[in-house]
Amino acid sequence: MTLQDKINNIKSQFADAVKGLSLTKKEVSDIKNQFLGRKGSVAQLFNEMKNLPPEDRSQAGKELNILKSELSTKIDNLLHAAADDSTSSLESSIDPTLPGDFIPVGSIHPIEKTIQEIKNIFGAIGFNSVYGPEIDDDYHNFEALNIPHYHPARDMQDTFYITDDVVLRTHTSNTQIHVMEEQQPPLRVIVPGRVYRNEAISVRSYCLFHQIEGLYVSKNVTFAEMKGTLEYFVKSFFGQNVKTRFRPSYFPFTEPSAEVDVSCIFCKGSGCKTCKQTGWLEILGCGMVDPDVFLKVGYDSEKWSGYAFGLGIERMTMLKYGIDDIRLFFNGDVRFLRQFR
Amino acid sequence: MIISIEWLRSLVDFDLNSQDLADLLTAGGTEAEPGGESIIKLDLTPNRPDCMSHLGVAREVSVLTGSKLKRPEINLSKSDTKVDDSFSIEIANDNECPRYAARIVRNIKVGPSPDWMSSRLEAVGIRSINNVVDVANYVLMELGHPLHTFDLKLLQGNKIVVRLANDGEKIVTLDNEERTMNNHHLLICDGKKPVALAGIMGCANSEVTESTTDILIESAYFDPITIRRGSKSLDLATEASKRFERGTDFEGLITALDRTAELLSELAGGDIDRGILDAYPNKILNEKITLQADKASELIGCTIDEKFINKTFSALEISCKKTKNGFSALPPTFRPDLKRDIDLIEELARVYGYGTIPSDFQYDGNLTEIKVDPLKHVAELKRFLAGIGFNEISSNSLMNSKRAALFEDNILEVQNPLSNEMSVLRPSLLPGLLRSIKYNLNRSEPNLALFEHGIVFAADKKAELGKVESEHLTGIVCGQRNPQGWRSGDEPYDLFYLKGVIESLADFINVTLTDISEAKKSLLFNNEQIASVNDNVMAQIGAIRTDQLKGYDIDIPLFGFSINLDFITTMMAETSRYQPVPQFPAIVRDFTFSVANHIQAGEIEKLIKQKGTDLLTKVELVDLYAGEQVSSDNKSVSFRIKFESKERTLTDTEIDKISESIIQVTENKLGAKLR
Repeated sequence: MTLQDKINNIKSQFADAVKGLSLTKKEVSDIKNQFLGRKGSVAQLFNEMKNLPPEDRSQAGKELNILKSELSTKIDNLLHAAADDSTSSLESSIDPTLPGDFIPVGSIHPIEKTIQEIKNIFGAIGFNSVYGPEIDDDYHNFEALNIPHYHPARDMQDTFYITDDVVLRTHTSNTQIHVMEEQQPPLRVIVPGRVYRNEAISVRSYCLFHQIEGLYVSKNVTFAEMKGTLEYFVKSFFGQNVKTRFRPSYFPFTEPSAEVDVSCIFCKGSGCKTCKQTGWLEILGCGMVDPDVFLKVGYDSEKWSGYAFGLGIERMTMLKYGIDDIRLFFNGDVRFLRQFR
Repeated sequence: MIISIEWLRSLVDFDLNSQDLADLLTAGGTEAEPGGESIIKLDLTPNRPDCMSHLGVAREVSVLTGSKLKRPEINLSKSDTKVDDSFSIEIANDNECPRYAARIVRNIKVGPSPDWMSSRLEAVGIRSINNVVDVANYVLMELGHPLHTFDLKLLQGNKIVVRLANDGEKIVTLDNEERTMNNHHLLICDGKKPVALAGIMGCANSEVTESTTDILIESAYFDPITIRRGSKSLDLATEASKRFERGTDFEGLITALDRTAELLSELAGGDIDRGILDAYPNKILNEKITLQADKASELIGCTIDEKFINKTFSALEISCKKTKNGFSALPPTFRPDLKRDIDLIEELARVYGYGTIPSDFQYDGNLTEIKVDPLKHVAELKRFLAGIGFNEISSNSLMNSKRAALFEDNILEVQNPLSNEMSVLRPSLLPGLLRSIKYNLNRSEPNLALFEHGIVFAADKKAELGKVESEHLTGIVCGQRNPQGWRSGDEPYDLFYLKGVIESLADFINVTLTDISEAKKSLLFNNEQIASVNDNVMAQIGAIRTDQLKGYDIDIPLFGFSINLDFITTMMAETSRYQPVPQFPAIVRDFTFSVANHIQAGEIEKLIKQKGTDLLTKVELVDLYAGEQVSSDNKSVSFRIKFESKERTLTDTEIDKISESIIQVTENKLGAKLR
C-alpha cells in the first residue's frame, strides 16, 4: 500500500465514523483520539515515515501535515456543533428568536450618491470628471463667462465676496474657463462641485449647494446633439419613460440657451403639488458655448463649437427620493442619512 | 412682470386662453404662467428688456402665431404754441446720457383717470393715482419706455441740465428719503437744483401735484451701466431703473414721448406745445450683422431655410437683405441683445421651436482621451468607511468666526456674510462633524460614527488669490459601537476602535503600517497618535480637544481621525503584486508573559519581532490581564506568534530555538517572565 492509499483509507474511515450521526461532545472527542491522538492512526503514519527513502520523506511529511490539519478542522467543527452531554442545561436548547449579531452599517451621503451616479452616466459616453476651485477670481466666475460688472445677469446669482475681486464661486461654470485655458479641444468634461449663493436658508434654498457642469467642445457640435445627449442623461437618471422638454432661456455664456424640463416623475405629467400643476419639472440649464467665451480662452469659434450644461445635485436628489427640505442634506441628522446606503 | 390679457388683445389677435398663451410664450423663451383667466405672469431673463411691456409681449405672440401686431395709433392734437426755444436741455455727460427728449403740455387739469385706464393699470398691479401719473405708468406698461413728468412751474432757470452728481451731494427722492450721491450717480437738474435721480426716481421738489397745470415730459436714454451702478449702490430698484439697466429703445423713446403727450392732452385736457426738445449729441449707430447662409443650420443641426429666415426676421422687425454669402441684418433698436450672428441664430432656433429641433445622439469614443476620475479612490474609501459603520455627512462650509478660531489660525472671512453664524469659511471638517454630533445627541442618537470629505480653507496672503483650499477626509466617533449586545460586552467607540479602523484601512489598501505612536506634538487632537507607513503619515487619531468640545457644548469625550488622502489614494492606485499562497503549514505558538505594569505591550512586541527571524509572519496580542493570578505590580500579556516558511515544513526544534531566544531577550531587557 502506498502512502497515498493509506491517507485515503484514513479519510474514508473518518468519514464513516462521523457519518449520519448527531454526535455528543464525548463521541467527538473519542473520534479525535482515534485519529489524531498520540497513538492514533495519523500518528502511526508519521512513525512509518522513517521507513521511506530519505528523498521521499519531505513530500510525505507535507501530505501528512495537510491530512492532520484537515481532520483537526473537521473535528473542531464537530465539537462546536455537538450537543452538550448534559441535556438538562438551558444552553442546550437554542432560542432562535434571539437577535443576531447586528453589525452597524454606515451610509453614503445622498448628494454623493447622486454625483457618483451622474459621473457614471456621463463617464460611459466619454466625459472625464475634473474639479475646480471653490474660491475663484471675478474673472473666472463672471467676466470670462460674459458677465461683466454691472451686468443685470449678476442679479441672477447673489454672490459671497472674500475681497472685491475674489468670490465663492456661484456655479461650477468657473471650471469651464480653467479647463479651456489649460487644454485644447476636443474635450469632454463634467465638473462636480460645491457652489455658493448669498441666499437666506429655507426649506427651498440653502447658502450652498452642489452642481455638475458639463462641457463638450469639438468640430461641428450641434444643438441637436446637445438635445440627444441630455435626453440620454435624463432617461438614464430618471427612467426610460420620462419625457424631456427644451425651452429657450438665457445664460450669458451660452447662445442659444435652453432650460430643460422633465415630465413630472411624481404625477407622470398630469399635474401635482411638486410640479405646481404644470406636469413639468425644471432640472437643468444648457446651451451652445457663446463665441465670446471661446474668444476669452483663445479658441477659434470658426473652427470649434460646443455645448455646456449645468444641473443642481440637490434638486435632482430631492426629486429622485422625494425629499422636501433642502436643509436635511446639511444638518448631519443620522436618522436621515441612514436611509441612504 | 404682469400682463393683462385684455390689454394684450388690443395689440394682437389671438385665440388662446391664459394657460395656452402662457405655454406658447414659455415655448418661445418668455417664461410665463397664468394668474387666473385675466392675467399672465412673466419671469423675464435680463436679455429681453423689449418684453417688459404689453407691446413687446404682443410682438412675441405675433412672431409665434403669425398674427399681425396692432400698434397703438398716435394722433397728436395740434397746438398753436410752438415749444419754447428758450427752454434748453444741456447734457453735461453724454456718455451717461446719450439722448434726452422732452415735450411740454400746458393747461392740464389733474384729476382721476377714466375707468378703462385705471382698470388696466390695476390689472397689472399698479394703483391709480391721478391722470398724469397714470398716463406715464400706462405708457411704461404699454410701450416699455420709462417716462418722467415734472411740474414745469417748479423747474427754475428755464432749463434741464443732465450731469453727474458731486460726491456727497444730497437729494430727496419721491419716497421722501434723503439720499447721498457719489460722483457716478447721474442727476437731472433745472437751472438751480437736482430734480431727479436719472433713470431711477424723481425728486419731491418738482413732483406733479393736484394744482399742477403745466408739465414737462421726459423721455430719455441713459447708459445701462450708469443706471445699474446707481441703483445697486443705493439699493433702489424701480420699474424705470430695471428697464434702463437692461437697455431701452433710443429711437422708440420719441414714440413713447408722443404717446404720453397725446394721452395727457386727451385725459387731462392739456395743450401740447408744437415740437420736441431733443438733445441727442451723437446719434447711436445700430450695427448691421452678417449671417452666413448655412451657419444657422450647421449650429442647430437641421435645415433652417431661407423662407423661414425671412419670415421670422420680418416678424421680429429685423430688416434683412440677402447678400452673396448669406444675409445682412439690421436688428431693431429695441433689441439690445442682438449684436452678433449667434444672437440671430438663437432667434431662429427659438422661433423654429426647441421641441421641433431633432435629437441627435452620437458618441465617438475616440474623440477625447479618457482620464481616470481623480476621486475614484476616494469613492472606494467612502464605501469602505460606510461598510464598517460610518455615516457620511455634508456640512456647511460657512461658520461662526469664534468657533473657527478654536480650530485654526488664518481664518478666511467672507466680506458680505448672511449672518455672524456664517461669516468665515471652515478651516477644518471637525466643526461640521461636532455640530452634527451635537444635533444628533439632542435627538437621542448617542452612538455615532460620522465622516466628511470636502474642502477646507485657510487665508494666506502669499498664496494665489490669498487663500489655500485643501481636500480633507475627517471622521469622529461617539458612544457605543454595538450597544447592549446580549452576547458581548460594551464595544465603545474610542481611541482603540479608531486605531483598529486605521489598521483595517491599511489592510484594505494593502499597505503595512510601520508605526502607530504618540505624536511628539499634538496638532489636531489630544493624545494624538500618528499612523505611518515608512516615513509617510497615513492618518492621525486622537481625542477631540476639550476647548473644542466646550465650543459645541458637548460634555462627553469624543475621538476623531483625519487621513492623508494623497498618500492613501496613491497607494490605492497601485496594483499590488500577487504573493504565492503558503505551501507549507504554519506553526503557531502562544506566549504569556508576566511583566511589570509600566512595560508597554509595544516594547515586548518589538523584541518578539526582532528575535522572530524571517520565519515570523504575524504577532497578535490576544490577552491582557491584571488581577488575582498575577502580583499587583505586574500584568500578564499573551501573544500569539505565527511562523511560516516559503521553502519547507518547519520543525519543532527550530521553532523551540527561536522561542527560547524570544523568552530570553524579553526577560533580559524587560524583566518579563514566561508564565
